[in-house]
Amino acid sequence: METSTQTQSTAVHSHTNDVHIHEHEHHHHQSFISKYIFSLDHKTIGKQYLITAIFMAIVGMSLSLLMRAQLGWPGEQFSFIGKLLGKFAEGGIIKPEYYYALVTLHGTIMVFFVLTGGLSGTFFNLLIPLQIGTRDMASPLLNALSYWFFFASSCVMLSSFFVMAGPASGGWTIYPPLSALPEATPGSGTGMTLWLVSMSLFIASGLMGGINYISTVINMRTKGMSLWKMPLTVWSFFITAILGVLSFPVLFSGAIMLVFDRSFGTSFFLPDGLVVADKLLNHSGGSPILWQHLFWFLGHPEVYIVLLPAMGMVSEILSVNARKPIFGYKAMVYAIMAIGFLSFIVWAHHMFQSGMNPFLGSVFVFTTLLIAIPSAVKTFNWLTTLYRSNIIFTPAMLYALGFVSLFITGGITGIFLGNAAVDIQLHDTYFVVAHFHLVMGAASFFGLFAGVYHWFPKMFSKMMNNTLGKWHFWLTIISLYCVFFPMHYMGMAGVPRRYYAFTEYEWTSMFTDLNRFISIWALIGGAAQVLLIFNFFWSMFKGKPATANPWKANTLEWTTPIKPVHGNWPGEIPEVHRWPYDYSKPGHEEDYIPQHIPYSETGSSNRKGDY
Amino acid sequence: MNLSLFNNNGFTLAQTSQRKSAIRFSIWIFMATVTMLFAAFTSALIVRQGQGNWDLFRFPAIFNFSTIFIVFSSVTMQWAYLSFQKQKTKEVWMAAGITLFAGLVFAFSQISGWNTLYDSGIKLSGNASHSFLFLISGAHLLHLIGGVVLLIFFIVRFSVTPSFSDKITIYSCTVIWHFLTALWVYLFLFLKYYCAA
Amino acid sequence: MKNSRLNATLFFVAGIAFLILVFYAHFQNPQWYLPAATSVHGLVTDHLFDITMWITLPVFVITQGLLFLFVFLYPHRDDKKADYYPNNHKLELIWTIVPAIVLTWLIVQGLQTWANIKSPAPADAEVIEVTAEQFAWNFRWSGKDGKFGRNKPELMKASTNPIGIDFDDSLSHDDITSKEIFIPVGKTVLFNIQAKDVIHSFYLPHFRVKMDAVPGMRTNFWMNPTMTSADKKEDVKRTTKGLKEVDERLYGQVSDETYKDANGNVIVEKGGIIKRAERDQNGNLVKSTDVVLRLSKAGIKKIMAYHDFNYVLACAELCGLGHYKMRAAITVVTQQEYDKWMSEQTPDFEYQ
Repeated sequence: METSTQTQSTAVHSHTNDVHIHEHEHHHHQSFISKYIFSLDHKTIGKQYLITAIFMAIVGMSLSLLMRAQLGWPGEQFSFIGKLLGKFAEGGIIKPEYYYALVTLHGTIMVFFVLTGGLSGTFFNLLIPLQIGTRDMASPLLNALSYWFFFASSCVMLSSFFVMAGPASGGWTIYPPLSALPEATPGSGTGMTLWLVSMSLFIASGLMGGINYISTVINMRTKGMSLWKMPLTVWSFFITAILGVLSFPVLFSGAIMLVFDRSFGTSFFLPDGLVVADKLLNHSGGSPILWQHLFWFLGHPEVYIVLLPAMGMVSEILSVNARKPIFGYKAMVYAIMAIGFLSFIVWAHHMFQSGMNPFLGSVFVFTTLLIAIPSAVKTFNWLTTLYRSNIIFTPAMLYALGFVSLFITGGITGIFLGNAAVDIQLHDTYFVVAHFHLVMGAASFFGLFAGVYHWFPKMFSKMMNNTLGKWHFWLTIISLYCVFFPMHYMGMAGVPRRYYAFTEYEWTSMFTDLNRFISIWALIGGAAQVLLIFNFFWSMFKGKPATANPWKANTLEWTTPIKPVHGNWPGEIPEVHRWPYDYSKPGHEEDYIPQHIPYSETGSSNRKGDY
Repeated sequence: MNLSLFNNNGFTLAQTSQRKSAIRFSIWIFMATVTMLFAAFTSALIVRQGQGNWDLFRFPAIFNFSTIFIVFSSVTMQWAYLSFQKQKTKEVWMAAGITLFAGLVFAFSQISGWNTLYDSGIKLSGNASHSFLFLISGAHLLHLIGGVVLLIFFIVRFSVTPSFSDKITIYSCTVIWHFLTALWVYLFLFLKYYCAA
Repeated sequence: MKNSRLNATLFFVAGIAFLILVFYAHFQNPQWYLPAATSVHGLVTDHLFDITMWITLPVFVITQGLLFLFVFLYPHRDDKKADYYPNNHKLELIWTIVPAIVLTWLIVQGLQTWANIKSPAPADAEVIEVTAEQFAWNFRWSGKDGKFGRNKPELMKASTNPIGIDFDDSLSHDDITSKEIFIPVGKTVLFNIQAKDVIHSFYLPHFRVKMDAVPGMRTNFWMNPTMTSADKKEDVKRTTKGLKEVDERLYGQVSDETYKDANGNVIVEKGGIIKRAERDQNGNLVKSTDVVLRLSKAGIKKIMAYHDFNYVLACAELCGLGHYKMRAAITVVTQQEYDKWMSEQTPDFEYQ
């Protein structure tokens, strides 16, 4: 076995090296800047990602609340909105150009900056080295660079709020020609340029991160940590990183071509005979659909880039708090792989009604509905994990359970949407909005929340407040369901998404009070997030001190000291002997056996064919 | 703080062999991402070409020369790599220098190829086939410049401290160089097939 | 651990409440569920929707129910240990294969329907050319000769010739244009769709028609309407008429009687639409124009009202600032009415 010889040779060296670490820590005091700002330590970089993502999440959520204010109370004058947005909301009513900017940036920020950058950046950095047993990422420098590119791209994206004509407003999918022609909509001027610059930086950041994650998982595992002994978190992170590395370059290629179309007069996406506001434009032969193919080739894997890490963390947290091995560990891994693979061949289900060849549509109906199979396997395995378990209700566990519920609700509607014929009515309506907010938005957020509550002690050596955490959970899940469940009904009636107001049609006006109901619950849900933010920052300083292994978990990160050290383990890196899910093993006194405990110490519980 | 790409972040030699193989592995993943980028460009070209309004034009002869040059530079790069393995300082110097020179010649001949095209009225903003040629060859050239910078980095470091202990830099230089050569040969044949009259 | 029991119960109660609410909301507002389609293929896709619903609804209830049940049954007890139950290949095989079979069946159904909808239109279809622009729809009929004249982008002027009809082409001389769609009931209509500027989407919600209008290419969709506008209007009136409380939900509905205030001024006439407050020139709301406000001021608690109904064409692909109001009327009439309407149209050529 290649890996085992590799790790053995490391182990031989490591003793002398560890001595070196001690000396290093004693003699060299890092300055504040090199310790917290330009840190190369994976744990610090993870925290930097988390703090940035929390900020971006607050922005992204505020944008959605502004949108809900407009949709719930169309035409109502909110003087504070007028003061906040100035000329974009004269008289306190948000203007359409700003509403569409809100739509665009809410989507972009939430999908890319919070649920991709934030979720992956935080937990991949924090957990990959800690759970596979290594002192840091393969290239700490590349890792730090990845964060700073992410930071820069966040700044550029936010700066577009201060552009005269407003931020990009073509939706997060920025379909050309709308996004390519400033004549067609004001947001396609400087705002769109900044969007493209920001996304290019983001892609660079994502690729640097992804390369690092993959090679770390492949090459840097501690002795005994074979692939089949990795926690499901690491498995899901690993597959996610592969998805990112293969799909982001494709979006990048599309973005470059769009930049050329916008600035250098090419016609990749712009056909001949475009007449905007009675002006004939001088483009020839491009294809708007080409952009959609390139975009969704990333866009669909992106959905799983967002969701898979949440699935991994939920699997881990469910198992720990149910005090029971995850059911069907190998099936879970194969399901992750299957979802990852299938995610590359389903992209055109976003384009059933786009005018592409209907036969192509048929192929994508087939592949799309196939994804339901590994998803079903995962769901049933989570449920079976809970069967005859011994559940401890930590806030993280509540979020993991909530994730399963949201994933079922949101996943099932995917079966309607994936069928091209049914999708005729539902495409681009609120049914889609409800579907993806539940299954990828809210569910991934629940994964993120679960992760924050679960690994907070590892990040800040403090415990978060449980009571606040539980209140946060209940308020969040109730408001989420009250916001997104009714949207299915609007979608069935055919209410299109991205409408500035529903007052223009009789057929949408029957939902006036439903829309207000949704908006009120959105505000409650938004307000509930204050509990998390308060809990997070308050506990960082005033929380109860953490114990070494507060959740009695098996994975390696809980063998590190409570106060994190550079290099993670002060002594040798522990060697791994067993899979990470030996919970409630019969014959063992305690209800958990950490991965680094050798079988020789657990004679009474060993069984034939142990993992 | 040593800000090299292969830096060990303070606790220097811990897990060194793992980290070395991780770096080697990273290079391969990096090449996978670049492959995806060009796969996207070339498949976009095929889709676009299928829609008609596609102009075929004459390829400047200089693109043939640049292709020969880059293949030649790959051979000398391999020579430099083998000499490094055999610890022959002088030959490393010579081979790396020739490679660098050939790389630069390639870059200039690409640019002069574009010039020739522009003189004959084939412009970036023209027919989609023209745009694709400039886009794809330009993107390749940018990557090649990256490779040249890495090679210069190696040469400078090797001239300051001619040591044979750091095998990773020469390894990554060589692998990336061969990759860019293969990539160009593929792109050249591809573009020739789809765009040349 | 008392806390565990509390949390488990809370979760269970919330879960059951959730499931009950889902069904309660549904039976309280049956009109919210997928409204009936009025086209031949729409009835088929709606049937497919229903089938999918009948398959997924039990899955939804069972899986959510099991989640809440397990959480309720197994809260932490210090004197107890969980089962060590890491896998069961037979079980896993079952829940891989059963969904696979059900999905295969759904896929087959879906693909057949899809193939029928996307098959070429019958040769006798009424052809209507649709041209989308920011933010309006233009329609054209080929006239007596059954052939459309050329159109050219350079001739497109929104005010005079939005489709850019080339009148040098004699085929265009009998072409008829309109900003509204008229179609005969029971006859196949083929929409030939194009766009001038950005991507729009031609969406007829009641007919289950949706197709992007993409600049630089032509897309199409054909359908067969099953109900005239008048019949559908009457149908909706019959099913929605009732004594209704005076509140915001009334906006857009039609009053079935004339209501007056204390001074005898008419607030809303029989057959009049219950309107929102209008705006004056400065953009301020004029409260005295708000029908609901005036009704409640006059002390009227309940009124007889029903929903108005009009078929509509909406844009379903973000196309710019006016996307949300890019609408057009579509009227389905009987064949006689249609022929009459057609005979009253004057070709654009004669205006030139």
